[in-house]
Amino acid sequence: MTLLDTATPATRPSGRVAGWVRPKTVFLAVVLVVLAVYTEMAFALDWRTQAGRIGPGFFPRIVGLGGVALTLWGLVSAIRSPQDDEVVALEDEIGDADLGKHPRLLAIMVLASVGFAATLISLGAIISSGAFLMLMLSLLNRGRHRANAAVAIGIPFVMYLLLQTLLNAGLPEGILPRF
Amino acid sequence: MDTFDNLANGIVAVVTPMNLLLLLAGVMLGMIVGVMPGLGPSAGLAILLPLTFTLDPTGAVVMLAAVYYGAMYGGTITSVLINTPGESATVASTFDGYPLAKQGRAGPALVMAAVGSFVAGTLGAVLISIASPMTASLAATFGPPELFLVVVLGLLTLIVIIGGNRLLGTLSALIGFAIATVGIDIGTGQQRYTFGSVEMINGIDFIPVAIGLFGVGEILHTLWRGGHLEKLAYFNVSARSREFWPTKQDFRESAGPIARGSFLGFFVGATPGAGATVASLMSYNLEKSVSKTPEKFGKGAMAGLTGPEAANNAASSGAMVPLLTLGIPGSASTAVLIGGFMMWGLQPGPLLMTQNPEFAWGLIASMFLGNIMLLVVNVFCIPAFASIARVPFRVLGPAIIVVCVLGTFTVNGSIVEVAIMLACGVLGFFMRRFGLSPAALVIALVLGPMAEESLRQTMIISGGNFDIFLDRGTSRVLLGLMLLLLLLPLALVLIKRAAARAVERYGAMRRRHARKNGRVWTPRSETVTTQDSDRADGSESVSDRDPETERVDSP
Repeated sequence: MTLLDTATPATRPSGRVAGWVRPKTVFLAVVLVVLAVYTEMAFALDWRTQAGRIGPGFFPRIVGLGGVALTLWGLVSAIRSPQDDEVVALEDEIGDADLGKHPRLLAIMVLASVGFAATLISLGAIISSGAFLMLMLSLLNRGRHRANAAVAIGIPFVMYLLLQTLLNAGLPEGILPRF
Repeated sequence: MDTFDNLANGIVAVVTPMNLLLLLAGVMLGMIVGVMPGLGPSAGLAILLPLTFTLDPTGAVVMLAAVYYGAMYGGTITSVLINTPGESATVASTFDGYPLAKQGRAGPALVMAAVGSFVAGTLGAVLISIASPMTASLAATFGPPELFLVVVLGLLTLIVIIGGNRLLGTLSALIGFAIATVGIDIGTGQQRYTFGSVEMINGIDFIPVAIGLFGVGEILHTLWRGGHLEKLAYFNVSARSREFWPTKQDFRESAGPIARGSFLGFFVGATPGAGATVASLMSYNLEKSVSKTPEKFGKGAMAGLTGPEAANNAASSGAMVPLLTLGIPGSASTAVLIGGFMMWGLQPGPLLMTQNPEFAWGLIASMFLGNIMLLVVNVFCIPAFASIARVPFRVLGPAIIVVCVLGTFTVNGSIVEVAIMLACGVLGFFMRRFGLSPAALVIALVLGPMAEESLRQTMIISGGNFDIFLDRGTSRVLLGLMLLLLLLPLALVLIKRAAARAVERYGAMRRRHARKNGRVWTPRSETVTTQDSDRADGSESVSDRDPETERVDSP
């Protein structure tokens, strides 16, 4: 896959897909697993203390059981009426032009953000921010190399000057000297 | 008399050169946040929170509050000029704001929206000054059982009013409560869900969660639906042009809607859970129903713009009442504000106004000054802010991610919090995508520890007996309110029908009255309108002006 492919919008799935393999049901299934683990851990905590007061597990058990029950309800509803998640999407997009969906670009943005966070301390705020901006702008704002370079250099410097030089907020300097 | 004394003391506390500068910086930043489509007041507040850490609490909160209502003002500019609301509370402003811009009346629309916002914001500040001490003295009689019920009531209101999928709204709140349980249990000192990590002992801070859900989540969602490909058509505004200023007719048409919107917005905003979006949409429907010319709505009625504008700004003032007096955030933005208060060691709630009066009244006083500043900034800087709205998302999106990452890192210098923020960004994207409510999650996260603590205290008082909620008078009233709230969706249909009939009757009466006086609106293109007759001084007719549109995103 080339970088050019990443900007190609994904088309809406045509035809009916089984309720249990749709994105919403997968998401709710993941939430269900997380909440089930949370609830299982809550049951390892005490419901009451030895003095008879509310224990550390009291609130988590109520929250966990409620969460699992509601997620199950939501999951069953999502499987039984898969058209509902399209309704949510449409409600969200009222007034917007349909410009397609861009899951690959979204994934690149998330991965680039993770890379940015991972290199923040070792490379420093300016270099890691600049690299992240350069990568994302080269994908999103194609062909405008000078403008992209100006933004990729300017924004990290302004942020550093504001947060570190002016407010002494403790941004990592990385491979550049602190100023 | 006490109110005036306290307010005067508050003004004295705020009127320092530093605080005034912070107020100005806050309103300007708020306006910038407001005009950026996709970045609402809650995201703006969350992202800008780290900038205030080095300030004293009063200055910091004055600045953040200014960002909050500045963003409410700013959202209108994009609604009118590019038909894209800067945040959900200004959705109603697109209905008539954009048609006004298409008629070449973008300038008057924006100036009138600013005037409406100013009147509503000032009226809201007056109402806060009156309502807050009363609510605080009532809240001072609350014990732990009542505080617990108020927290539950606030969340219940949010879920009932949120509309859409209440099941998923409740699930969002429970996820928020679950995140709030991470860290040391305050009752026993036992660790919960820390997985042995030292960084998690103090729990998950709400700032990374709020920045992730509102800031990064919003950017990811906009990117996913192709925001980077958007071509924006916008209308030019120039303060030098004569057409920039509203006419007398605009002021006459807007007086009633602004007054109605201000009161409606304040009381809706003061209800925990109901926010500026609900208030502005209610105001739009109300104005359309009582209007002598309802057919004009959606085609560029000034009343359809100024009413909702006043309502959404008054609602943001109203939301300060439960925040200052009960410590309960009524909206996502006030949840972020409450988090800020806590970071500066201030505990919003019944005791705030008695223990930190200079702070509470300083904040209220700053709202008066901030509104004056906003009116001036708005009227004279509209063209400048309009140009910010032209920065395309494909540049803005990555830049906002950088601001989010660096802003989160500066809070505690923790890379784990940056990771939590990014994880919450991805969660926020999926929540938006599948109809869950990030606002309910953040509010529950802020209220979770309060709910747990007040429930624990209640159980200690009662010896573990839940009957305590039925034994106390105030608790019974609150339980009754909860019951009513649960029945509200059923009753709402009947109430709506009855209210619509009453409003319709009132509107019909006004229209009959208007017909009797011979003032009937007809579309501009067909015949002379009341506005045109106002232009008998020789200025060009509105229908003669063509909007200058241009493509900013075209390559």
